[in-house]
Amino acid sequence: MRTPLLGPVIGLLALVVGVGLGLWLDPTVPPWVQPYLPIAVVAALDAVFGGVHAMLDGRFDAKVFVVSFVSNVLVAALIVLLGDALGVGAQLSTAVVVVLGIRIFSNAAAIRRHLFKA
Amino acid sequence: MPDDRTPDERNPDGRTPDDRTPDESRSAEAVSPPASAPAPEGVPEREAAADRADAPRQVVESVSDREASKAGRPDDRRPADESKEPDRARADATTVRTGGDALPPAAPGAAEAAHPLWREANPAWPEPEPPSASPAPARPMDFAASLLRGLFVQRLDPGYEEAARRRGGRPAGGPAHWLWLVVGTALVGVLFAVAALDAADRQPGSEEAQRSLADDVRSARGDTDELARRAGALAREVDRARESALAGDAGGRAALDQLGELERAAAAVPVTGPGLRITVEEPAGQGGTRRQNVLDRDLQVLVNSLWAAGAEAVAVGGVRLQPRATVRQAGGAILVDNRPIRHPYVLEAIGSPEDLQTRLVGTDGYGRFSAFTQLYGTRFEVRRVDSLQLAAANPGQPRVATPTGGPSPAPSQEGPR
Repeated sequence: MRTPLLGPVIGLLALVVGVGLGLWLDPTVPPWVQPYLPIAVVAALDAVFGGVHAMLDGRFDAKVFVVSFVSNVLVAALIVLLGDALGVGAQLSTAVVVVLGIRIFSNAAAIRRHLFKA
Repeated sequence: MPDDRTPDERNPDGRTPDDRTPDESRSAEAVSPPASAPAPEGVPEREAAADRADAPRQVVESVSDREASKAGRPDDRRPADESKEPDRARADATTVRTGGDALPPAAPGAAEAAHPLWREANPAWPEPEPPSASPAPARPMDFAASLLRGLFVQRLDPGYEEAARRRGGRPAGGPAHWLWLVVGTALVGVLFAVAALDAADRQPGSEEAQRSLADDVRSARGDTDELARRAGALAREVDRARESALAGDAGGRAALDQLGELERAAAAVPVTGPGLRITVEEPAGQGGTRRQNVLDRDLQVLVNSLWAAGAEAVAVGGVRLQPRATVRQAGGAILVDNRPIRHPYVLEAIGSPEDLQTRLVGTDGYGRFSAFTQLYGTRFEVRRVDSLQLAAANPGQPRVATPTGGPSPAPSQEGPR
């Protein structure tokens, strides 16, 4: 990072572009993917908060971010898929949400400390 | 208390007996049971004495308050202590009582044995976390505890730390970095947008179905109300039309009068007037259950007695009796005109209250229920009421019967009025 603000700005711009792209394309989600979208969103949020935390720590690595994002989404979806196959999909979804939620909170707390020094 | 504790446990405050104030040490002496007293194991004694603990504890507390106010000592920490450790407070009271037994009732030492002064000095009940109570240090850390600790410690994802170490602390850069960043965040954005669209598509589906169902129910209910209102209005209109059509000539008026009479007799119109209210209540049995002493036939006899005493209209349990109504039993429930009524059976009869009561006293039903009162303790109460309101009954389809004797025609049926 040559300038400290360049990374976040580019990231935000890319995020906005991605949202716009998704809205514009409006891809039809196959029905078998639909149950995993909420979990995927939570996993993505975890990756995003981890990334922001790392960025504020000055140790952000885009490759780690992408890999963690993709793997988070895939693993979460896989766990839920496995749970659905075993008949405990709801419980495993809860477990995934709880674990990811705790991670999100702890990352958010670190971000808060960085930003507000509180 | 048996003296089998280690010195640490006996004196968790780390104070020597010499540190105590004179009051405290005196109270500690007062509390410790005399050597001649039986000294069983600590726990059973506590439990056995806990039953008796309430009364002496109150005494002790009031004495303690007096002592504290006399000494001008702030008593702030006592309520907190009690709410935190009710068991201990109870045990304190118990032990105080044990000590009090050994002393004359008015001994000053017993008064000073009240907590909190006493508790500070009493070595038998250590503070919540004495040093000796901490777990053995050699034990491996609990798996669950380590998991929770790992979850709540706010550390960076190990992946980032490792990547930073690989780069040697230098911040990431280069075209590949930006490419990854742009691709990754764009992917996240696409995922968010797709999920949002999907949720927007899907949620209205389930919620709309629910809402439309609820709307259906609401509108159906409204329709029912509206229809009932219209039925009532139309019935009133029919009555008015009939009245105006029949009131013109003498024959019509006679028919109208007869109709009114029949309607009253058939209990098809609500009536008000003075009368009697009779309450029949069975006594409560053991365990909240009631033995059923009053049966349907008893109520039948009572209702017939009311009719015989000159009642013009009768309702049982709020259900107006029409000519074909029955009082009968189905299992434990009394059904009046096929509607169940609740236990304190209330019979309301319209008529002249004085005449009704005078005549009722001589009837079979009154005698029977008076006997119930003596035999079973059934409450049987007859009260005159100035104004009773009895609702209309639904007489169903009226039938017209002609007296036999001549050529008997088949009973004809008419529709509802």
